[in-house]
Amino acid sequence: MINPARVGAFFVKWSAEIVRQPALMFSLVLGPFLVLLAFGQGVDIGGSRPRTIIVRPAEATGEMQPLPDQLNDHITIVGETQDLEAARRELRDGKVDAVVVVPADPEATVKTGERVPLQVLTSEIDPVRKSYASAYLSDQVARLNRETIAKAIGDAQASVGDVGMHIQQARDYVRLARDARGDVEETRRQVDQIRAVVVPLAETADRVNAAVDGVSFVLPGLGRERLETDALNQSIANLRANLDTLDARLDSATSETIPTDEELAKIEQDLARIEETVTEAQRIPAETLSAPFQLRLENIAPFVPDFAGFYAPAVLALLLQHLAITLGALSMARVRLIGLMDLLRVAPVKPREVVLGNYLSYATICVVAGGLLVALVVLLLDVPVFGSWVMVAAGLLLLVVASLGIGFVISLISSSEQHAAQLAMLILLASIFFSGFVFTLDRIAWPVRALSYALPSTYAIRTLQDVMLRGVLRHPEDLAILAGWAIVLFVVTLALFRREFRPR
Amino acid sequence: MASRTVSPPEYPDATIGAQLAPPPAAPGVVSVEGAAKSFGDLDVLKDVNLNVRRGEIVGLVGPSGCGKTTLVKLLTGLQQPTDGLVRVLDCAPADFDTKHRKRIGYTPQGFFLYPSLSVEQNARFVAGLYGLGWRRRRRRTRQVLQFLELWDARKRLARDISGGMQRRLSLACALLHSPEVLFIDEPTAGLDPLLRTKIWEHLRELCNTGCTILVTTQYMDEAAYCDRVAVMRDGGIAVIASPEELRRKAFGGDALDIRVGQVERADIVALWNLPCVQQVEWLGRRTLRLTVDDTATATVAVTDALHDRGTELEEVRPYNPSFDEIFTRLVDSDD
Repeated sequence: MINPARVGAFFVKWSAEIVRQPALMFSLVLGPFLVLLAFGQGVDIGGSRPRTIIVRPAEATGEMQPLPDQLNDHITIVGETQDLEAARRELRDGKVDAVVVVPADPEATVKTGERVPLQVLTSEIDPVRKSYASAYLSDQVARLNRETIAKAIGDAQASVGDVGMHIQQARDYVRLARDARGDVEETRRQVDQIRAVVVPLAETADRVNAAVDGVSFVLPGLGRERLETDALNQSIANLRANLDTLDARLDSATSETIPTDEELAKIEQDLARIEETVTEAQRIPAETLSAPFQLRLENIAPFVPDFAGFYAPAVLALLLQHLAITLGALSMARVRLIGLMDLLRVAPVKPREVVLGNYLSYATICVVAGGLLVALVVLLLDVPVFGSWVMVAAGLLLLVVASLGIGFVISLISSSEQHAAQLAMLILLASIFFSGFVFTLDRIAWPVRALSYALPSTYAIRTLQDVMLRGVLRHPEDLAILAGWAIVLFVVTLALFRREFRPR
Repeated sequence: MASRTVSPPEYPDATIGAQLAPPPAAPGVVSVEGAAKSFGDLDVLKDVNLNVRRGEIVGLVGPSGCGKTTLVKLLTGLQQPTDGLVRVLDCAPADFDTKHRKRIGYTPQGFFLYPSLSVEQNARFVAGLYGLGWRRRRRRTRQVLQFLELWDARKRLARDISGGMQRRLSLACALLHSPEVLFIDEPTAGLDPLLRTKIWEHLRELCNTGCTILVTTQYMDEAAYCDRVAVMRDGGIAVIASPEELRRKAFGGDALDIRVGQVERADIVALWNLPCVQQVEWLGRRTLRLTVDDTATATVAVTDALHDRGTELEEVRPYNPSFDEIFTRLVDSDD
């Protein structure tokens, strides 16, 4: 049997305390909102632009390879020097964030068959920033490589632009050779003209080969282009062979039937094949050949919030959890501290009435604070609620009740207010790292992930983010687990309180 | 012995603070037989025997650490005796149910209420703990705060009132549900003599309305306010008696101080030989203190004896020793 008057005594007492402390309500609701607002407005998740010194060695030759535009967008070049050691000292002293060393003679290095090292120095102790810098710079170097290859291919394609003219000249000479049939000397002269045109055609074919070889080294999937250059070489070889045959026949010939229509037709076919192959090689843009794959990301989420919007539900869950745990943790510690526990034990109030009374009081204030916070976040930060408001309310309520349970357990096992506050802070710290706020759960390895599943905020963050930002409750089991935690912690709190009430 | 009602006394406005006749004594409200309490190897209470009758004020007097608070905690059910028997209202305190708890009141040592609540809010909170309904809570809060002269300060925060008012507020919270038995631990600790006197006046008024009170104090002189006093020493009750009996026990009878022109050895022998004189103590060249059976009878006998010897008697008066001295004598005699 539960006496409503005894349970209500706690509620009335707590309400009176709140009414007497408007600053408390202010700090409970407006404080967290201002933190969230400052987070959204003031934190640049994209990272800072590192201050960078460019080191250009004295022996550097040729033009400096321009840095990719994207890299320039993400760094601030604060100076250029030839002294690598001086740049290192600046980096060590924290005056700059990075040093980029321009390669001395990249062309010569490539010609020796070596890759050109693009050296970047950092002095980073933050593993996250170090990983980010490493991944980002690798991407930039890959981009630089692609642009280099695209330039080489572009140059090769430009160089084959003259092939058409050479082919046309060769065709003209074939026509003149046909007209000169029977005139051996005139025919030989035209054949020599054709042979002279084959030389620039062969040189072009070599350049195309080199470019395609380079592309194939970086992108082995370019088989089609490889076959095309093989066909070009073959056509040129055929053309040369047919011209040699014609030359040999002209040397021994007396008949006016030289060259025959068949021989000239073969040469025209060779020229046509060369023209076709070169045209095909020019058809694909150099950018496509250097970077044949293009990322096309499609996000089917109904809404992509800004950083503040994305983190708002998670911050809300964390703050409410911390509020409930702290209030719960300090409640009984305070009762013990002022000596009220003895009065409660002597009074006719039952442990379940004390526990219920405290749950009712603190849950009310936490839910009110949570509701006001949600309203502020929705109205002032424009964070949407696509899903059901009932689900949002259920998630917050269950989070508060489960967190209060943790707080009460802390308060009943801790030896002082300081001890209780320390434990509450530890749980906040664990929640920041393990509840999916900073890292998603799949990046947390077992058995540490078990800690994630022990935290109410883990379920609340997922629920609130899904319901508010996606409009669907993708993990309905989260609410059930939160409810389960709430019940288990209530029972544990009650058991601990009964133990506290027993005569010693 | 007259029978008395066992329902919790309710103090109507008219009777609050009124001087009623002391209720007739009745056994069985508090009964302790051979109780002991140990914490590990530390024996805090040893073979304590105590019987508190209905409607009396019993003071537990003794120095700090003698076991007064532990004994109160055994009586309120906060702790269990290691050995012996403790009963309050015919029930072992460790087995108290809700009905029993409603019949007792307890004021722990020090101030234990919420400093950020007002006097009235604290009182209502405690009244709520005792299950008082809304209307009765309001009525009782008003009655008790008026009784303890706190009504005018009801809106003030508990942290802003004086130490004496805080002690009275603590006491008020124990009275809201009109308990039959009241356990008060050190209600006057740290208060000035005027406030201490005031608190004891309130306790006496409560007692007069039928409440049985067991109160601890480390001030020996407060024993005078009690119906009976249990002097505690080293975890045990050295002696339990009324203040007057205590005085007689400490001195072996009444004390009589006499002053003469000049104390002669023969005068001392003459006084010593009187049947009503038990002891003669020489305090100075002209002053003697006599322990006698009865002050009135002895005054006449001593005056006559000295007159017969021709000794000039300048003054004879009963000596009222302080309870500090009584306590010291009792402890010394126990050693």
